Amino acid sequence: MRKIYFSLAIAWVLFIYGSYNALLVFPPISSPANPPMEELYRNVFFHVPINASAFLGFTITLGASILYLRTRKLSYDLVASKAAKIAVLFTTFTLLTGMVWAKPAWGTYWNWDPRETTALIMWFVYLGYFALREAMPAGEPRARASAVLGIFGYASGIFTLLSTRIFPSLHPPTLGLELEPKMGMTLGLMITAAIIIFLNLVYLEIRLERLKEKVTRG
Amino acid sequence: MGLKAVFNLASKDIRAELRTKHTINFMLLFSGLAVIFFSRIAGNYVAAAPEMGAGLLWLVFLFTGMLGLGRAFVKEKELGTFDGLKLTPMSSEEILAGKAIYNLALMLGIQSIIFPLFIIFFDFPIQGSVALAFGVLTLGNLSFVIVSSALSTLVLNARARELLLPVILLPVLFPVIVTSVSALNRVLVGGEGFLNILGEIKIILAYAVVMSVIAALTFDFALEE
Repeated sequence: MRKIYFSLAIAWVLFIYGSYNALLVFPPISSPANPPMEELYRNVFFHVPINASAFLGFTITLGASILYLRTRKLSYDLVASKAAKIAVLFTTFTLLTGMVWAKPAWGTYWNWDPRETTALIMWFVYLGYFALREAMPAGEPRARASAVLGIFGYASGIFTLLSTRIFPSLHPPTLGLELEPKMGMTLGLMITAAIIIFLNLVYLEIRLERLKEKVTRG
Repeated sequence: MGLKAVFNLASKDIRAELRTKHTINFMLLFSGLAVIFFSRIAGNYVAAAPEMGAGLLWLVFLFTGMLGLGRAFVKEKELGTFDGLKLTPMSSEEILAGKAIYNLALMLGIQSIIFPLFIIFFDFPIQGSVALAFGVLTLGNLSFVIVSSALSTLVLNARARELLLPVILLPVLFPVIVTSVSALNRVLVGGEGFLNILGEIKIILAYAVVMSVIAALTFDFALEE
């Protein structure tokens, strides 16, 4: 537990320092075409890190699902489900931060932009994943079914991104985003902080589940 | 075993279905009703904006398939022949392929009746080739049956499986349905030819291939009990 406190403390320090930079230190950018953007660009320091860790979470679910099917160790199933749980939570925040930004930037809260669409579909895929888990008693069959769905769902997310790519995107490019070095560094700090917080939340969820099992077993 | 076993399984299901016609009749009735409801509710709007038509047509297939395609395995479960099916010396991929072919036959049957019915009821002005539109629909339905056959076994032992299947199936199908609707629109309304919708066709084909591979790799686990 001490390691958890320690890494969480680091993450919060990074997060607070990053937020301080993002919200108070950095000057407004020049955006003559769309004046609200002068301040609103700061959203990027929150939106991108949350999204990056959510995507990492779905990838962990995919990896743990494959490992479960190969080894049949229920601990992989636990990792897959808890990573998906926190990733769904983070995707919710991604969608919300994206929407409040999209309104002034693109005119409407929802635009069916490729990235928006992918995030939303992934969100529904993993809500379906939990619906499936809810509908089955804990144990081998549930772990197998949800692992298989976890793999299908990830593939569908990739295809959603691919299929919407044939339409033009409004979203700024993810890679090759041009930021001043200091801003880029702050973004890096925020991404690190978000990933540490994400992993810790997953770890705590797993620990909680293990303790629950221990208690019910007596 | 091999291809022969796959076709034997598919033809067994098709013959059993032709004898009772339970599933196909219900699916046809349901899809016919859906077309008539859509036509009454949205017919005038589709006449003004024909781009809406392809999406509505796909919704009809989606709802019908959602209700009917899961039956391929549920039926075996209800009749108590599911264990017999697993005891046959067929590999799990062969069982999946057989069931997917049976489901495809169902969807093709529905498609050949509902597509003309849709054109008639909506008085749909067709600009492009009908054969190409039918081909695009078939390709979309192929992807649809692969994924739904594979995922329908996951819910066999779950509570409220009829409700659960659409919830897990729809988001996984989203990319292929959207692409198929876009391709269908470009053919039916835009009057575009095969080469113009090649991008969409490639995505649908790639989706079908990738999902078949995942289904074949994971179906062993999905069949276990």
